[in-house]
Amino acid sequence: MAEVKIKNVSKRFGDTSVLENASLTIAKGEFVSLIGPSGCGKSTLLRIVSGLELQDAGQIAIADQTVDDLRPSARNLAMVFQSYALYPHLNVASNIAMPLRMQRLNSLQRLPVVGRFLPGTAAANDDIARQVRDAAEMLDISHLLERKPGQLSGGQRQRVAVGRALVRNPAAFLLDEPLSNLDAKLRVHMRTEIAQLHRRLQATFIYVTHDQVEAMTMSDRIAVMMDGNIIQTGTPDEVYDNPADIRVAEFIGSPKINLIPVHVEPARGVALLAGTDCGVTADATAECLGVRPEAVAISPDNGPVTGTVEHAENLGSEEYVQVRLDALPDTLITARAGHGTGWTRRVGATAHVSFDGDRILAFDKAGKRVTCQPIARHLAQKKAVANG
Amino acid sequence: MADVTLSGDPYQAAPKNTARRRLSTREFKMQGLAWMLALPALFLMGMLLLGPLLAVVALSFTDYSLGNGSLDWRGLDNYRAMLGDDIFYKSISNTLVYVGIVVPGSLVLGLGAALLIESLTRGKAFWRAVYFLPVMATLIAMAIVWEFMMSARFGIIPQTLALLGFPAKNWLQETATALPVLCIIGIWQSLGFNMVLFMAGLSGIPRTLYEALELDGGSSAWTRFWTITWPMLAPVTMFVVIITAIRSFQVFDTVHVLTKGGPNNATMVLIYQIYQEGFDFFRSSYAAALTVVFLVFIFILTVIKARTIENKVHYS
Repeated sequence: MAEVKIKNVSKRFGDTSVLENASLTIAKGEFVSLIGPSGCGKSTLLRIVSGLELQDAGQIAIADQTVDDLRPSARNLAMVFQSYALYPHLNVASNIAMPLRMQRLNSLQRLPVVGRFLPGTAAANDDIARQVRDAAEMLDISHLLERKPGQLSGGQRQRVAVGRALVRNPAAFLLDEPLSNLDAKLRVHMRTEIAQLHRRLQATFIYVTHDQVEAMTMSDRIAVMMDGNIIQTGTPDEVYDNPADIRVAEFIGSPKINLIPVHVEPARGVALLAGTDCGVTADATAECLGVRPEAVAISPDNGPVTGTVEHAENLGSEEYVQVRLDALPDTLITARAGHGTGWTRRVGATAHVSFDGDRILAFDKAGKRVTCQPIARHLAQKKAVANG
Repeated sequence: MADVTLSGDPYQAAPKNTARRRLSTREFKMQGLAWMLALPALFLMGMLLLGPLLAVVALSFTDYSLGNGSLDWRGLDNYRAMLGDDIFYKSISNTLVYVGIVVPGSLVLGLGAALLIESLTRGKAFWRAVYFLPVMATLIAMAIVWEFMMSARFGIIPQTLALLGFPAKNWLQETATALPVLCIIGIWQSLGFNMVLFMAGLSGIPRTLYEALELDGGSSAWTRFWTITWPMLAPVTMFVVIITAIRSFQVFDTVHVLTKGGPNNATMVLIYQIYQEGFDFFRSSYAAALTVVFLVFIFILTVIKARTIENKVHYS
């Protein structure tokens, strides 16, 4: 295990710039997810860390050692590929054993028949076989060791790929969208398993995904990437509650955050939604409020903003209701309602919408976060300043 | 208990029986129709593929010779004659030597050429075309070119070798070197085809396997080749071996144009002997017996191909 440091890395493919000055430090034993929409450069960044791709500028350091001049094989990293990349002609045991064979045996000892008779091969092979069995046991694939990858299901292949990565003691694990080829149910299950594996191994994990649920549920920290830049890093809670940018706010969270165009009244600083007071004061440059669905309350008769129920999604434990605002017909607001609020399912019903002022975020024209707080607190602060 | 209740119930048993009877007549009709539809194809197959084969086998038990109006049943006479025929042994061993040199030679060189061309960043298409030229050219015509190249007086090869101190002679006319020279021409001819097959096989190997190996710690070209390339090419290699072997067994053009089986039967191969017996000496029945032996070899190769290619060397 080791710390991985990415310093000012840039990369271009021809005329397209894929990474621009990306920097990130992953602490020893930390689980960091690189997340972003496809084409944002997250996989490229991971491949640069692994050495499979060379950066145009910047440095990669592993355990305080610059590795830019080292081949991937010399960086002591383990990688799980999106396609798993198992050796199809080798059985599961040999697949898992490959990194150990490369490490412990020289090229003569690896020869098919002859290698077995060279001194030291037998002992090394026994040791490798034992470690392979241990790894297989940990991943619950001991019964598959003799099979070829072609005879395994997607989930089993996934485990073998993880087994091949963890059989040795790498400086860090690199995982490139490892769950994207699995079905939804298995993905949820493997999510838990990988998170548990990380806790048990206490190893450094760099995990690339476009699925924000995976990033939220597994990581210690998330690095959100857009257009070749890392635009925010933080714990899942920080990124969710305090997005630095409107793109982050939109990308993280499902259903998506509600974005409501507002106008800030210059005199009092109150944000107005088509003339209606939303209950918050915001910076004068604010053009848009972001409210998570769980911070939106709807009721049949009580709330400052009115709208019409357009669609309701009943998930059993909760319900997401889409309300079209009367004052802003272009804006559709998603609200999370508790279980069993029957009236919301009547499409066309009138709904009164109110927002949790503490959880409203404000963004300026360029999409950057600006200050915003509930009017009550704003007044209290003003009073305190006046008194103090 | 359940059986008793079921068979005791007349309302249940009756419809079941008629259903079965109806099904069987329908099945019968379907099968009849299927055979009817297959008949033209079966007829043509019998006439064009199996018929001639059986005719050759039958002919090998007679004393027929080309042009004769009648023939007599001679049993195994032709095969007995074969056992005492020195030229037959010579042609069998020459054919096996030819196959034994051309198959590994064109395999190794074809794979080498494919690997080298694949590793190029520019000019792939050019080199592929160059190596593929001999495959596209008619071998008879190319054999004439080789004849000129091997000519003792003005051929480029003997003249070049003479500069290196070798005697300037036509190596095709020497007992010791005629067959090896034919092997070289055989390799030259099939190399391009094998190369193209290997290139197709190489392009089917996923790049991520090499990346996975690199991260697993295997970084030398040697390790990459033995751990991934060679095993992943196994199906192609098997195919190349069988195809080249079958084609090498059929070597005829170069022998006919360049050596006519000589000198001193040094390049007598099975097909050329069949040709000579059948069309020079008009001993059609003996040629038929030789053909049967040739077909046995081809049949064995085909069985190996079917068994191994279809069962063994596929991974998923």
